[in-house]
Amino acid sequence: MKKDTLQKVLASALVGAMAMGTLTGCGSEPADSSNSSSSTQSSSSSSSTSSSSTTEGSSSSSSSSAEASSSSTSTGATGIDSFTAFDSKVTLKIPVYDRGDSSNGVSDVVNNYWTQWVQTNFGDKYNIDVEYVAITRSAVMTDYTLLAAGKDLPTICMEYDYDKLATWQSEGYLQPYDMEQLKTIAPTYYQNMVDNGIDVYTQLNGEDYLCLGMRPYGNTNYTFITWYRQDWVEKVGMTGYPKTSAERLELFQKLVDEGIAEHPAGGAKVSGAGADQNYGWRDQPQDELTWATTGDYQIPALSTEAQKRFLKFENELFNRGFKNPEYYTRDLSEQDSDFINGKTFEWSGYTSSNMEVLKSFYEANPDAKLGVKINSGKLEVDPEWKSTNSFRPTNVFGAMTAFSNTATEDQIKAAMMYMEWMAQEENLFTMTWGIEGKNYNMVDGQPVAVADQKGLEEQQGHNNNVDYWMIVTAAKTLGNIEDDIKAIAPQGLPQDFYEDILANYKGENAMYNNGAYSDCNFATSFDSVTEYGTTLKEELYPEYRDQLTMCKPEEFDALYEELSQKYLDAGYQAVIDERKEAYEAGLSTKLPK
Amino acid sequence: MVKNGAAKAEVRTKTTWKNAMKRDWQLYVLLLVPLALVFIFNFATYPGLRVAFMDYKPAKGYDGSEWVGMETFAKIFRDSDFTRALRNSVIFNVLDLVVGFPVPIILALILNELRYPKFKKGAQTILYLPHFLSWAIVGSVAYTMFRPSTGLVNMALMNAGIIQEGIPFLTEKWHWAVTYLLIGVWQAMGWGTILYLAAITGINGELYEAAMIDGANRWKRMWHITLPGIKSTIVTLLIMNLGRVMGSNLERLVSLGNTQVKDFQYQLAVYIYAKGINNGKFSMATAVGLFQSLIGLGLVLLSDRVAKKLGEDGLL
Repeated sequence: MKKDTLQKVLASALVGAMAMGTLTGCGSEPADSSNSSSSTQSSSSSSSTSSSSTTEGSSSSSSSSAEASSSSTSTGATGIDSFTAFDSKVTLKIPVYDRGDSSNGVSDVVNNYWTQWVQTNFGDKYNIDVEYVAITRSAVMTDYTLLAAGKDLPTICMEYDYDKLATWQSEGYLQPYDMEQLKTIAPTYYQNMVDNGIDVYTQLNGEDYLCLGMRPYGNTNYTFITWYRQDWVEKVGMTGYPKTSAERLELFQKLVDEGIAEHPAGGAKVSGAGADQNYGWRDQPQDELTWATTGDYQIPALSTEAQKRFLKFENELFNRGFKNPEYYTRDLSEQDSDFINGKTFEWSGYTSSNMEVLKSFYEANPDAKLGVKINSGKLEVDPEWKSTNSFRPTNVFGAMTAFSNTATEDQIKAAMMYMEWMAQEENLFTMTWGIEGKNYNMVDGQPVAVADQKGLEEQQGHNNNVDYWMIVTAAKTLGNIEDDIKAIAPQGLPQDFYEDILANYKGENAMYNNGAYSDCNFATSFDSVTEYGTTLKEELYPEYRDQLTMCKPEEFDALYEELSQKYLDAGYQAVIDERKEAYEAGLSTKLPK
Repeated sequence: MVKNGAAKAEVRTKTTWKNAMKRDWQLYVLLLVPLALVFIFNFATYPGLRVAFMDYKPAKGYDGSEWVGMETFAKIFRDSDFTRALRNSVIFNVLDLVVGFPVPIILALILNELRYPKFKKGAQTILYLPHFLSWAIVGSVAYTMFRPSTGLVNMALMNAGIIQEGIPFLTEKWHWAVTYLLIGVWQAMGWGTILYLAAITGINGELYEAAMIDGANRWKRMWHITLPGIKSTIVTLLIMNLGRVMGSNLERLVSLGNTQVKDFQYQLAVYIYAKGINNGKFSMATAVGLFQSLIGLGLVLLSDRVAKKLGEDGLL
């Protein structure tokens, strides 16, 4: 009898446990929905508002802005001083890049000292629950798509690439915003746009969708540095970084002949945006239509003359054995280790005060001497390979912020308040530099970041928290380039690169609009890019470019023709046509005359 | 005891359900949980299949997206990439079946013949291990082993003077096909023996004794007792495997793939991921998934029929 009871009790307990298990599976939703029930309700109302504003256009904006401002800010006043707390809690979801364990800096990008700092200093004050949403850095589009499919987009959608925002707009992820409301709630942020002349890029298809962050020194790409083996160059009796492609081949041949490196060019498989850029292979001066239709950063321009030159040189590097013959099976990380292990000639990356790759490099090669590739500031053309020293200036604006179509009126207000709060000098300074004595020290009146913050409770995220403050600016600035470069020049290494990095900045600055030009920006989104962009970029291009790199030199031209045609047929022609149409309709930026 | 027996006799003739429920209600309650799980996670998701017949836009949801009928299917069947993926999927999965299906059976027979228990257990454990390795690990180990010039295997062969130039195990499509299939067999064969070994333990030991008395050697016993003893298990597993002829393992394809072998590596799983999920084209991904499942279901039903015609129990 006792045994029976025991069995019954055990069985009931087991059933209970399993039932609980099942319920927990569905659990997060009810928990969440209690929080967001009001937001779901209001989201439907907001979508109707947004659709009406779509049809009514700008005429309705002034009246709605007055309404909007009166409820979130006290009447008459603007900016942070006028902020009052929301009556009921508002959830504000902000995307933040997850760059993988080794690059994040912090162990958890959505919950750490700094996210809590924002909550305490901003969220709690205004009854806003700031929730960060992790976005995989290498799979931004996929992550946003899945969030959109789950009706769970963050309040704001934020990215550095114009194309991505345009795609989201055309897919219906975004809602237009009211410029007057932005001016009222976030005057500092708005003024930043005006002062930097980037307020002209807010519109897509005739409506204001984008808020643009600043990008100091956006006419250069000065934080992206190429380090090379100065000691190798000297060893083979040459001077400095090769100025032309022909000189590069000569150098590589010598390095191989003298047994210094087996495959000095290294190599890894191409992946992601920005692969195989042809900025240094274009005809100068550039043809404006070619620049507008094929000169972007996202979709590799296979079928163009510039891309042909670039790939032909890759083919040469491969066939002469300078490139690793197995490059297409190797990951990017292997390229880093090649450089650290003294197997390749150069390595490029974004400079910061703490450079792990360079530290490891000097540990493995204590006697090595590195140089920095410095742009001369004058356009130099290689007559043989038709390559130049041109480059891609980053962009005149930094991160673009847009509001998701599921964001409620209150959430948009909260997001604008967040933008304004982050744009305040003292908040931006703390987010950027951290806490004095912990994350930075004052040296000669200037903050200097602590290079190694490992183990600190206050440890900052990737590149001094950039993923948290990118909404306001793409790079921290102390107001002048010298101090700014000092702040990001690598520290704690046997060599100092400050002067070289500064010289490279000056060179690039001189080249801007004088051989190096920003990409074309369109005030419209393209269906063809949404339809074919990912396939072209991630599927076809890597396959075709490897075939072209590895084919016999005499087969290159014919193969380039054949694969270009396939690439055009697979959607690139449609992309070019649509861009051409927008360009001719005057919906794009132009090359400076 | 007698009373109980009488009650049982009564149950059989009268209301079975009521009494059964009264007696075993705990068991039925327990059963409810897995049933609910199956219902929620399998059947409750079926309405989502309508995505295949819509121009589904995630931001617009089900209500806002347009119905387009069979247009997505028509588009897919016109897509040359789909044809390539379909061809590769069918060829490689059939090959997988041909090469991979018999191996666990043979292995189970061999393991069954091992007499030293410790060695048998050890061998089994080692054979099971690859099943627990993720494809990401198998893939990176495979590349470390099989790269043409820096791979361990090629370096060993070259140093031994057996070959002059590295064999492109994973970097040339025909070589890749063989390596892909063999790595698949290696990864799955140990785990596949479990069901067969379990079936073998169910065979009556007296049959072996009788056969031994009649003078049957090991080979004959295997052929005439063990194999027929596990025949129904083999047939069941074959039918189940036929249902998977259209599907392939994305992780396996991605971890072993590279741009030089795309001609063969591009299978439906890759197509669905690359064109569907990665591109945000959920309608397309769902349509291909649905197509895959229907063909799989058709093959299972067909093979089940054939098995029954041949006098086997079949699956259903």
